[in-house]
Amino acid sequence: MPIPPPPPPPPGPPPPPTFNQANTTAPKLNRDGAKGRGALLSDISKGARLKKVGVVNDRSAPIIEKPKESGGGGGGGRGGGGSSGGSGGGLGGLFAGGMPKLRSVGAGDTSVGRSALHPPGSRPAAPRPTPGHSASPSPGDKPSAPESQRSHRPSLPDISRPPTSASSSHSSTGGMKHSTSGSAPPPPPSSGMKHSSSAPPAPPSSTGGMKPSTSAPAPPPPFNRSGYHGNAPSTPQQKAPVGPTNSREKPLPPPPQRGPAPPSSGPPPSRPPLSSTRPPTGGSSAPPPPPPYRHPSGGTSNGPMGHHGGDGAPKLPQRHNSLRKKTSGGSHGGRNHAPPPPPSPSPGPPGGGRPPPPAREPPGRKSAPSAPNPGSRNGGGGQAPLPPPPYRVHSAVTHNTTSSEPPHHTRGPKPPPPPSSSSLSSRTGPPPPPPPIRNGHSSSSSSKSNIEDFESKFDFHPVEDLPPPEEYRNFTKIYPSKSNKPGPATFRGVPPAPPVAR
Amino acid sequence: MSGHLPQRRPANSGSILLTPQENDCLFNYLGRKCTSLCSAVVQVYSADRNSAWTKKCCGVACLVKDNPARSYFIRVFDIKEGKTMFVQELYNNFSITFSKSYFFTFAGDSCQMGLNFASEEEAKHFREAMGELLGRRQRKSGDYYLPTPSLILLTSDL
Repeated sequence: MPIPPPPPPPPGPPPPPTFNQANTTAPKLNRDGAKGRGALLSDISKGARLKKVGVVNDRSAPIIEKPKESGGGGGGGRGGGGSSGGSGGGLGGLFAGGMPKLRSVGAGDTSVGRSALHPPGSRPAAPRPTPGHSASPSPGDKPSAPESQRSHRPSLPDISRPPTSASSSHSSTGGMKHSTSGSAPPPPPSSGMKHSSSAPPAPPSSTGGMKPSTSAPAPPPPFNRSGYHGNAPSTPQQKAPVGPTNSREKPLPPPPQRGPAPPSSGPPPSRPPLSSTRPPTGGSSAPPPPPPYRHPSGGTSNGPMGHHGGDGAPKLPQRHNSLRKKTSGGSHGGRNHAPPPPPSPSPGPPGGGRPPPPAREPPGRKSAPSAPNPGSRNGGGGQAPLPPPPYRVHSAVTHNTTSSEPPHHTRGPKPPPPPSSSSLSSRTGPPPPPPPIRNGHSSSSSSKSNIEDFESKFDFHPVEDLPPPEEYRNFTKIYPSKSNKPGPATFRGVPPAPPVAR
Repeated sequence: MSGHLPQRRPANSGSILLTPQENDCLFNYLGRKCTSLCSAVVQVYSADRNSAWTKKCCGVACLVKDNPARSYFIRVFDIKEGKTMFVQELYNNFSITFSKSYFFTFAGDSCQMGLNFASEEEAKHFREAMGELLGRRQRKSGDYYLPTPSLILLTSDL
């Protein structure tokens, strides 16, 4: 800088202890300092002046290669397409495939916001797509094209704004209250779009002023996160809601989560990336995971599964595939809802209605590597001679043949006999057939049967296997919980009185 | 899910036959400041007339270290509701007989009791935990114990 900064002010007052007092008082400068400061200030102002640019080559507007169409939309699209070529960097190829066609909100409404961007006389009417009239200094095509395109793609960043706004900002400031009508580029449309008129929907009508922004938001909303359904419920809709969305091919990729409003206009139709997997019915279920969970039973989709019958559902970790095979056969027993225990995504209480263990067998039972005596178990036990794989020998036998099943197992006639019999042969894994059906019954069973259900999931040695009980010798038992009360030191050598034998 | 790991208390040991969720429920059934040194799915038998075993219940047996009571218990829970179906405090001279690798017996309050384990592996774990516990007791047997030492009869046919 030409003049060195003025000397620091004399340290008269002590430095303020807190920042909030700092610089609250202008520094006192001596005469020389003031002179220097004044010079500096003048320099600064000079510098500001020099920065003004007469010609602005705005290459930020997207280039849209679209044929001319009636209404501002076509022109806007063309302008956008045309400009995108020149300003490819501005968009990063976002619209390399062509500017999405935006719907025209309407001639009357399109004027909103539009007017702010163009000189009063140069604003093209709705039907006038060509920007030739535009008086803005920027390249002939650009100014109106961007603005008209803006009408169609309100969701796009209003990058085309600056050039036109620069020339016409003076006229629009009054109208565009909340939009970034200044010369600065508009803020990200997502924030601005919703309510502001920064993105005038369509080529502005000839009205000079800007209409209240209420009309503007119609197209912008689609850009909104949630309002992607063409017309966010929060925004007023002036035009046919369905129309515009169709024109929008690729606004920014909306989040997978749709807002609560069901896609009335069906954005999905135009969404190439989002195939029909996005369940139309999923609108009700707010967050459908990208691959909708497909019920393993196949056709029996319930609730959020939607109709997506494809195989897009991720298979939940299944403990045993054989079980699922079985359930597909057994599910038609009436409970299509009964997921086999393993695949059930989020069944009821963990310890409750879902019989998880069926999927797992006691290590001793199966050929668990560490099981010391899988063989002896089968051989020694007086159970029915069934092959090892069947997990629940007892239950199966009880249900099927009731032959050698020891009586004490008292597994009441469980409902699922048929599946067990059929599955017994087909069962390759541990999961027993009963569980799927047991679920349905357990709800109506008493607590006792619940316990039995639990018990039946495991393989116990029959009572015959147990050695006979030894003789019971009743003796006084000292229970620590009762004898601990007095502290250990107080009874040294004197054991506390034994509790009354129960 | 007893995520609490007290400084000096052992962590809960669940049953290998139960799912993690069931084990978590089980640990919640234990009560405050109680930990399960070993859990297993068992059938509880009693020899009411010293002649035959009668099944009393089936549930998840836990070797519970009850800190507030400063004692050890064998508690059998109903996994579905968390009710305690059977409890046996390990009294001072408690001894347990490992009759089989899957069947242990002990003297209950009024009669012989037996635990029929669904899993021999769990039975083995239970046996080890019990043995360690009783062994510690024996070692530090002090003035409370009656002269007769407690025996652990390892008659199981391993």
